[in-house]
Amino acid sequence: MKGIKAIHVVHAAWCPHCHPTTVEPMKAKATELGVGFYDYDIDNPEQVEKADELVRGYGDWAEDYLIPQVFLEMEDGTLRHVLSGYSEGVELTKRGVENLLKSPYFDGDAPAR
Amino acid sequence: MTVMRLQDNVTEIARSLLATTAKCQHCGGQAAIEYAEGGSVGLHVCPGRYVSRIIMYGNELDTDRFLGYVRGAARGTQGVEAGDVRVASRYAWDLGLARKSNDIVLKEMYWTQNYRRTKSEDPDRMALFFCANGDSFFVQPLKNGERLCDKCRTS
Ligand SMILES: [Zn+2]
Ligand SMILES: [Zn+2]
Repeated sequence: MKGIKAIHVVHAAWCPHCHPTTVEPMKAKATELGVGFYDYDIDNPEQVEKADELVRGYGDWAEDYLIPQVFLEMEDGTLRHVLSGYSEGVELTKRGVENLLKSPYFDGDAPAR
Repeated sequence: MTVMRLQDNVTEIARSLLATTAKCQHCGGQAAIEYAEGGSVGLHVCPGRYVSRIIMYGNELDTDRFLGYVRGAARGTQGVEAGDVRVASRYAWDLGLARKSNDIVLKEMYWTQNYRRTKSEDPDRMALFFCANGDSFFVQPLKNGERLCDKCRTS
């Protein structure tokens, strides 16, 4: 796999947009590609700091920000925010994750930035 | 002119890819999406006309404009604070659009009624509704069953 070094997901255990909609498929993809996988639970005091840092620095920041948010750590060291949950409904978040996994990011042809 | 076309594109994409029904938290019914402000605002509204969510679509985040809009709509309710607004970036790849670049296609700003800070089950709570004629927002106690704004009720 060229391009992606690790997948990072900010999530909460109680959120249906996160589980099983986003975290599980992203983790399965990371395993399949043999790249790192890191998840940060916003309700875990040890993980929320890193979650906030990722969202504030690279994601869709708000005081009460949306979850899940997915970030790709690229081999060149850059971090890219690639998905936020859709407040409209879980089915849209599910479609977003499916589309993301079918996108050029995951066939070794990461889009230019 | 370019900006105009971009905005049209955003509202078109919102209509085709972001229109969905949601379960209404006030009645358990289906809240469908309706549009205001020429399509740049989406509302989740149930058959009882309760507004569960307001969404603004744009090329860029303009949370001041969004806050102003929601505050204007929800005047007389529990109030709207900057911290109640959440935002999202949508890209070609998660929307399923075939594009080579990974530029942001649109931004969404969300406000959800009766969520977190303002959560209340009080049937007397002043709540936000959208007139069945689609002309304006109105506020009434949650337990009231009016589906029309004052103007439409009296005309
Ligand atoms: Zn309802
Ligand atoms: Zn009316």
